[in-house]
Amino acid sequence: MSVFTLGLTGVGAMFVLLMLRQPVWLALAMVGIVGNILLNGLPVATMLAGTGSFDTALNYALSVIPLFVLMGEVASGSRMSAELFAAARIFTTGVRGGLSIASIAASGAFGAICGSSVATAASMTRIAMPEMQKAGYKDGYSAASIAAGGSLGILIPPSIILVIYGSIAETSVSRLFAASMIPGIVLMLLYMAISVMLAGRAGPPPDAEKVSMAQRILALLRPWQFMLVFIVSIGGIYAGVFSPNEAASIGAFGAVIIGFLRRTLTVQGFIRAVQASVLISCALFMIIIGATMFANFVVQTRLPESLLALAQAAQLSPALVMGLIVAIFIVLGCFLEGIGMVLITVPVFLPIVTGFGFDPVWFGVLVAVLVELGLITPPVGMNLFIIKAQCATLSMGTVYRGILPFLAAPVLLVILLFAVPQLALWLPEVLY
Amino acid sequence: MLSQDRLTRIFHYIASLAIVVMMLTVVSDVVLRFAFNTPVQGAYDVVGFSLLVMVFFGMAPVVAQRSEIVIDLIDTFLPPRSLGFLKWIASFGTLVFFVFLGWSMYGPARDAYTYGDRSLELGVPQWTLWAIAFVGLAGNVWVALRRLIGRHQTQADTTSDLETNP
Repeated sequence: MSVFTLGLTGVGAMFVLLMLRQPVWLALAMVGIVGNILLNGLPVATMLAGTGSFDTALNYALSVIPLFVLMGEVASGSRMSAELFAAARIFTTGVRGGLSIASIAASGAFGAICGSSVATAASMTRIAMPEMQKAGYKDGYSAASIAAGGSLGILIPPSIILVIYGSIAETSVSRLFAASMIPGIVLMLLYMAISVMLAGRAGPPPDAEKVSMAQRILALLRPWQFMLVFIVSIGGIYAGVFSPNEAASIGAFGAVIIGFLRRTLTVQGFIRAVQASVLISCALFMIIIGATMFANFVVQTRLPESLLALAQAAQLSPALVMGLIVAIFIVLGCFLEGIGMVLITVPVFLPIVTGFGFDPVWFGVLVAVLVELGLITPPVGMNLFIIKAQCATLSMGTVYRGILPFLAAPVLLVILLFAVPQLALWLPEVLY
Repeated sequence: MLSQDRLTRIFHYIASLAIVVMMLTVVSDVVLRFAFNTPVQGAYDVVGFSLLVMVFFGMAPVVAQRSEIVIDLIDTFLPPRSLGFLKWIASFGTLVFFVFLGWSMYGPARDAYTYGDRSLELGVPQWTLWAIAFVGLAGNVWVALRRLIGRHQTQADTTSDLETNP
């Protein structure tokens, strides 16, 4: 068996294991270990597994993951999302579909502190869904607004997916955070535009209540503490004052202090947040350790280089190759979980993408958008399941039908990223 | 001998403490650097060690609580017995992996002891870090073994899992 065939067989075996409901980390690790044994023999494979796992766990740069997860868990535990929704709600009073727009805006703002789409969707469902049901919004439309808004957490910094992408692609996390900011805002505006377009059919008439512009602005200023956390942590990275690790620590610490000062966070709540952060972070680290072994194997089979050579020999245009990669991501996103998808695909695709002259930072943003699309694409959109799990009366069919129009927004953003790469590359060029 | 729940809880607390230490170390480093231009000596090492502790001690509660990410599309098509068998394979694979990892780590750990490798800032002997990782790993093996035996005893039971959906 040639090395190339072995590489392809390994990738195939890994997908079979995933479909046979083996944990993502285990599927990656097993294929990586067996592949390395076949390629290099047992002594080299054990050495790679032992030192690789230890080095991953001791990697200072990766400490940013648990710290940003902690910041998100503390923010979730101290009811920050409720206050952001309340502010956005007052601001959109009198607008048709105002509650839907408010949930998208609050999700975007919460994503800027939280960094997790799942946590954003979960907390926003508890807060916004009952309000929208009470106001007479159609269930599918309400659920879709929350699911779409929740997915923004992946793109708007801090994004855990981008941190992980940065570690695989050896790309600066600061540059990735800068690159994803404008596309994140554009996506939020696109979701809002779709929400407004659908509001005529799916939303009740706007409230007759009158709210002055001064009251609206005042409402937006009320959750200033959260803006402060975001400005200090993410702004600190943009300004070059903090490294991502420092920003994550300051952000987490700031969220804890604000939570305690405002009495929205108790000691028990803090312990729960820390323990939840351990579970989430370690589940991610297990995948990263497995993915490191898998990537070791894939790199040695020279699978990415062989695929690149095949594409170049077939004289495929860069646009066609990228189109194929995007199509693969979209198909995988229908079935795979986001972080696993990034760790499985990026080691294979990144050399091809850079080989065709595309920027790895731009590709990181594209991957984040595609993962985001996967989060709300039926049949396995994580955010859709999260919402369904919290609303017993909601049928999955209603959620699926409701989300379809919203899928146009990330698709449009992907097209925009291809047409105007500066959408992602301009800010990092200005800042760094 | 510790029960699985107690051991997992202790490991979970140790891993939780490690995150808090990480956060406080970096915050102190930043504050002291900006306020007094005197960063915390060894902050880089402390954060690295804390991460190591968090990862190796935090894996046990992940395995015990089945918080791993699993693609469970197949669940709706398979009878409970087949599903139970696939879960048993996952538990068995987890145990095999941790044992293999322990074996793989022995060589580099022995080298670190023999050659007297030390950490960059604080000069901590590297073998002590390997030793910490081995303690965490021993807990992981124990939890994985308990899960495997528990799964074997209740193979037909497929409703109590807390695995994370995709």
